[in-house]
Amino acid sequence: MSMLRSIINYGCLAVCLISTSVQAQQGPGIRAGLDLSKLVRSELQEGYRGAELFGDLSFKKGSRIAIELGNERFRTKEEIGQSVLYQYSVSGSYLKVGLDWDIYAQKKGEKNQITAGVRYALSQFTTDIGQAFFYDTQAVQTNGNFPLYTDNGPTLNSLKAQYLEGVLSFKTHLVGNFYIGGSFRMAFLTGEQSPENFDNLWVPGFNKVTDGARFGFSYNYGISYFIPLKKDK
Amino acid sequence: MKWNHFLLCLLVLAGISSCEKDDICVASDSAYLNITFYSAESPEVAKSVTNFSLKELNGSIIGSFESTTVASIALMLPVDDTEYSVIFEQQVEENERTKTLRDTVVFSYTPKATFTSRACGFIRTYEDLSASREGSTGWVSEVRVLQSSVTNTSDEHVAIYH
Repeated sequence: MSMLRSIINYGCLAVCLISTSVQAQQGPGIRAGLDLSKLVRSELQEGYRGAELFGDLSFKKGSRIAIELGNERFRTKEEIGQSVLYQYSVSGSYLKVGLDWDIYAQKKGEKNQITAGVRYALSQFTTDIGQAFFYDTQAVQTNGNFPLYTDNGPTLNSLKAQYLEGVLSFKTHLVGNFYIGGSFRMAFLTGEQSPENFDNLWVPGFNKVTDGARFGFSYNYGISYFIPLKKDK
Repeated sequence: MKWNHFLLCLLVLAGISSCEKDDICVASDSAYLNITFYSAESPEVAKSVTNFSLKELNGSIIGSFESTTVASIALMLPVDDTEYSVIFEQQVEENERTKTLRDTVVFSYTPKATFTSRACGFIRTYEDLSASREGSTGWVSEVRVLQSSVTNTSDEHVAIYH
């Protein structure tokens, strides 16, 4: 399932990036877009549901103010072998604000766009611990089930995380004022409000938080509508 | 052409970034209550028990060691309770007849679940441990709590003298 998901996701992204077309050069304007990768993932991955809207505003030639607003829910579990260790569900919203700059010199009449950018992001979320077991070496050695801790763990409210994100994104003209594109993102966790007796293991907009590392990786693709503000001669 | 090279690099980068280090739990483990048997006459000397079994009050067997000798046992106290009664039962031969001796020990404790890491999840420990004897017919002379805080699997927490 996860293999299929990867193929579809990377496939879509590849198609978005390869299908370049040559059009009149893009001037300043406002863009509003919808993230498609999160909708696709919502359909394909059990326990995931997410949506994101994004937009940007060109304020100077080649520079844009960018914004992303999203909501995600992820229900997952940690396992050792076939034995469940604990289940948890994270749900919440995030807001990313930052700048994008063109890093690809467009040929005359070309609408493709490659940009590098930075974002400052805030996530606010709730973690709900489901069924949980005690880690136990004896159970690991005998491949047995872990002894039960609780059938329904606590709900941890008012959790927050702040992170900086580096973004590499691509956009290409589709039809009319519609564009399609994608981005790769590397985030660095700068601060978090952790729950008592649990950790922020997954953060909306950031993705998985690994032990001992503060980096998160993600990618997306989506469709956007561009409204030119003035004609560029 | 530049496009394609760039794309290839990014796909490789994405492939690398999706690799995760193996999360293996090594640092922590849930605690058991370790009970060691000692001699009542000379309390420094460990003394094994034979024909011994461990039961709950309702009679269900926790552990049965009928044809072996036992120097110590590891007991899991239920975490949804703060008191656990255990019957220490021993079969002894007396005048060519088998006699069953029973001692009931009540353990009082505060169970604790501590989240340690993603890989280990929650571990179990016990605090404020105390033990008292009830309804004794006889083979245990004393139950002594050596550590009221049960946080590991290697220490001796309770000594039983017989």
